[in-house]
Amino acid sequence: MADNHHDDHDHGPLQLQYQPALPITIGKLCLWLFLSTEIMFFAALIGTYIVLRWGAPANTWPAPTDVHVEEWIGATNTFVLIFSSFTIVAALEAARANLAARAKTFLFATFILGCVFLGFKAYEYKSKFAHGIYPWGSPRSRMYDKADVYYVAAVRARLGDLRLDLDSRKVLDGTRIDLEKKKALDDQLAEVGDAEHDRIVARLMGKDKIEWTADDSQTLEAALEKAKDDLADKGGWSEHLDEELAEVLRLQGALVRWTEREVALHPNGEKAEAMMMTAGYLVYPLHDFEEYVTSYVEQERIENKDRLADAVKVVAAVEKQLLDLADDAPERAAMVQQLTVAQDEVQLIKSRQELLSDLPEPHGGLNEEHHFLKLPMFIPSGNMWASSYFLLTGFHALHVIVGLIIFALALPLRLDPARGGFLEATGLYWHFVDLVWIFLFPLLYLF
Amino acid sequence: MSDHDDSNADAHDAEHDESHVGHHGSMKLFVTVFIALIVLTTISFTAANSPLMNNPMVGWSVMMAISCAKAMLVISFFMHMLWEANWKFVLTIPASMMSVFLVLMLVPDVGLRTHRYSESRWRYASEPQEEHVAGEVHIEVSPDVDGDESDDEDEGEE
Amino acid sequence: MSAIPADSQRTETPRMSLSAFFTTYVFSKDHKIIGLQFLFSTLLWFLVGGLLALGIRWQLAFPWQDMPVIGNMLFAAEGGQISPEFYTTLFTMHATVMIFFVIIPILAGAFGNYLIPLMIGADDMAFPTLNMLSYWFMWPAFMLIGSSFFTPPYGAGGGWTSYPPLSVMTGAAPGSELAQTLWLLGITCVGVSSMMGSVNYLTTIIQMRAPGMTMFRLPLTIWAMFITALLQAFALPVLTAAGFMQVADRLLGTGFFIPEHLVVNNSIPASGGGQPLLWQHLFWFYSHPAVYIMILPAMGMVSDIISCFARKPVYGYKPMVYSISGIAGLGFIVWGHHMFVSGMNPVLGMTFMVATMMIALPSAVKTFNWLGTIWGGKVEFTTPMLFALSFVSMFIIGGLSGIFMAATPVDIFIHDTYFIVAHFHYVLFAGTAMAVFGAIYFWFPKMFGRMMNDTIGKVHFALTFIFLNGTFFTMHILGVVGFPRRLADPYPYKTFEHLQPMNEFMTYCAIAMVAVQILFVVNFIYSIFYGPRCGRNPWGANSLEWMAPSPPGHGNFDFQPVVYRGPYEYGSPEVDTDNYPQTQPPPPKDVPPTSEH
Repeated sequence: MADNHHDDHDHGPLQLQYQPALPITIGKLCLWLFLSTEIMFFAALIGTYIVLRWGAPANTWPAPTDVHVEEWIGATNTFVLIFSSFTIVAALEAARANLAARAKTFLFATFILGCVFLGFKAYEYKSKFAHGIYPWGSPRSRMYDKADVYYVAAVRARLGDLRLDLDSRKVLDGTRIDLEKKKALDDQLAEVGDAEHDRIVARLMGKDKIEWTADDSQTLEAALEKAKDDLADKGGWSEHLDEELAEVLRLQGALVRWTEREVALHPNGEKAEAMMMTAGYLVYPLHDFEEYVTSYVEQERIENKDRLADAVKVVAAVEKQLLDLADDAPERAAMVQQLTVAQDEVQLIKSRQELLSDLPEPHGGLNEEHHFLKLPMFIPSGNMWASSYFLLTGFHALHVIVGLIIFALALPLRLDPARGGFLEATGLYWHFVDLVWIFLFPLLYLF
Repeated sequence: MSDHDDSNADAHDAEHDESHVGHHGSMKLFVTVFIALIVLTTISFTAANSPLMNNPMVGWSVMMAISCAKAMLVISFFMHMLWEANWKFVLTIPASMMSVFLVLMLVPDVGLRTHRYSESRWRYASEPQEEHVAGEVHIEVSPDVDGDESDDEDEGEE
Repeated sequence: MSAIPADSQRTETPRMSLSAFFTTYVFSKDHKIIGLQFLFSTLLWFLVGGLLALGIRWQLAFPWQDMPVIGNMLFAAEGGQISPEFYTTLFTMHATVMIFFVIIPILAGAFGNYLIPLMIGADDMAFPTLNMLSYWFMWPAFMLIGSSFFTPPYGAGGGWTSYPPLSVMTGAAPGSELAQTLWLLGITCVGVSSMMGSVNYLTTIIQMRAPGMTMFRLPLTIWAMFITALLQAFALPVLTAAGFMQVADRLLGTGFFIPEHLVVNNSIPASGGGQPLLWQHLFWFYSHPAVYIMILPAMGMVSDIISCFARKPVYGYKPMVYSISGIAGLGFIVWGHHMFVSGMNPVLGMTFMVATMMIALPSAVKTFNWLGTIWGGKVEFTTPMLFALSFVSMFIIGGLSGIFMAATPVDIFIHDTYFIVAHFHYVLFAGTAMAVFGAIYFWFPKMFGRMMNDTIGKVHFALTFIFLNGTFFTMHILGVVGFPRRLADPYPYKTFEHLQPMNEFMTYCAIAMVAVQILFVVNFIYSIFYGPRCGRNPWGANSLEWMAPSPPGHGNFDFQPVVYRGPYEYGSPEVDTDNYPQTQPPPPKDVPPTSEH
């Protein structure tokens, strides 16, 4: 033991004798001590998850299905890790029996299984990100813990942005030729310099009268291609701009306007809460709220029918009054105002009816139906869930990566009995990684 | 660290031959353990989708028991703890006890934190849900929404 | 014992090439060089921490007055004054530097590294490369904390405890932007370093003791280092995990420590649902044991010094060992006493109060055993002995004030006043730092092969002892009046107005105390080069390190140490000499050494 500490120093003739307390190598002892510290590390992480989860407001913690945690992936990964634990122990057995080739096969299998585990993990993370679930809280992630005014405001902001974006793209779509022409000319302007300035401005202003040269067309085509690419980078060259815009407008009208109106009418009232929750349910249907929302919506439907009839009556009455009124009557302006309000009310109730008609089969929510929407979602305790999920699986995955690096370093070596100690230590570490997963699997996927 | 373990282990093997009393277990045993682990995982998976989860506490207890069983299998056989000397207890039991103690001590403050939420705090907390699942329209934002407005801090602290 | 060859290691130095210099003195894997690297680094940081403390003292004695000479240099923007934000940074950095860069590394890193292999009869640590890494992992920490201090506009100001939500809300305070993140990463690096060190120490002590060196023949220093390493190994990962969570809260926007309904600058942070108390629990789960990490090795070293200069065996060796273990074990279950006023569940408070008071028992055992060791001894009042004796007396004061605060009702009154500041300065400065001075005087001959000047040492001791009491004892009085800690200027409150003269007195004492350390620095540096040469065992001690050459070469021992008895056999009737070294074979009638298993 003493002679291999300083590879490059003369140690003198003396090799000291020791009296070890334990019948194991120092490497193995050190590894076990390290694993003990790892036990404490994961105890802190898992303990944090446990107390945060069971301390969250009663039963709000999202069910695995609510956050796209798929049990089969977890189960498969458990199988993969257990299998890799078996292969590494088999590699150790083979190495001790001096079957180097066999040991290498098993070690390689372990390495591959570790990679498979990480592959599944990456797939899982990707699907979370695709749904707007990030470790961090909104507005960067799209999760809100509560369907309240902040949530509705975020939905409104997102729909507003979308509309603005779609509008501008529509305009761009219609006039891009003109724009590109201008851009090409501007580019030319820059190239030619001040001397040519006036002539080019003239060309720009009176573009219809100008005869295009071959050069001009080429420049324009190139610029167009580039603009198309730019637009693709910005969010895609939509073939269905009109439909998307119509959908956003419909949602803006229905979802946001009526929610906001109810909130304004009954701040903190039960009606507003119910409305906001229904809005949240439409965007991202949570299993636990289905019963509640459907019953609420049923009630709303009945009420809406009556309300619509009333509103139509009001519109008719106001229209009738308006017809009777003289053109220059002083109350006419107020009356027109009244008509607009009444018509708005009709529109509002209609859009609400339309929206609520989708409810019984929510199709995984609006975000799933229209991928471009990316509306904020409402998942109670979703942020705490995401924080702890990504923390736990992230640190576990880091340990897997470290294990894989060690395996990769060991693969070129000859795995004979002399490497037994090394393989054993690596194996112990890998089994510990497996152990952590054995507890994470039920805690994160099944509970 | 690993390269070090390696070189030290070599030298040590030569010195203390009795430290590696080579063959504990056999491939046959390890295959059996492996199959047992797979079976336990399947049971755990099945339990999660079974009527046991009607009472979550029962389902969770079953799953945690299975996890502990799996952990013991891995520790005992794959990590060779079954065949180690008594030092295994010295190294593992204090850490396990301390981790359990840490989690237990977190329970009153963090695990039960919502017991001490004030009314104004409940307004911004995630929605308590049991009021909704009953299918009634009435929603309470807090357990005692009609309570006294004035005591909005730490009312749970007797 | 084999014949002892002449000490020849020192003569190699002149012919050393540059690369050899680097592998020998910079990236050395030799535990002695690493120990000295730790020693020099921590002593430099000790100076930095002391100067930071003087900044704090200046502000408290002369609030908002220009600092003489350096004021305009440091705080040109504020016209030579300390700003409140800078004051916050000052006390945060003073604590951070003193705890993480001075006391923990000087005990575990410097003395642990230097003494463990020597005292157990090993040629080096079990994992020299790991040992080297544990030192070099301190450097990222040095740089991160250092850059945190200089990050504009202000350095980290969350206090060394870094309590959320202040510390996790970026923008909550001037120093909680980038500076706080750098601070957290720095602490994580210290954690990694300590973890590597502790695992290494444990392995070394368990597996690499010389033949005959059973566990109950280990010097108490080694026992203390062993228990300290255990504390670090088991408690530190929790802080590391919590630190990562806090970094995630700050950088990624997770919400582990951010409660719902937290309003900062009129806006509600995006994520929430966590619990600030979670941080306090996880933090103190490490940092309370860390308090013992900061005192146990000092206790061990003091035991060795006292026994050596009282020329008597340590009174009650096994009770000493058990009480170290008892303090460590209890130390794990008392962290809640830092949180009595945090809004912690009162049930927990009661539990933690009782457990804390129980620590007084093993502490008292140790104190009485030290007194028992001195009782009736042939006490030699050398410099190390004086420091060790002052450790014992100061530890009694610091320990007793600790019991005050263990009681919840009392703690509620004196929490976050200068009483707690007095308490931990008595334990950490008057206790540990004095023990460290003693240990430096004691083991300096072994480290450099030369003696330090005893007269200057005694003057250094006497002045330090006087001025430290002038500085820190007064704090008790301030604390009982209710003088708050961490407040840049308490004097606008009428209650505290009349305390300013007392603060001025403390500041003069503090300045004098720092100035007195010049004696130590001069003595230390001068003695390295020009001190009188000493032999292997200048103090006539028993333990193994004194049997090796001074300074020991590579491989430490030039003979195979075999241990026949415990390290404290002074004045043994079996031999004529005063000391009875562990390696000296017993007279023929004795039985050969027993092995532990």
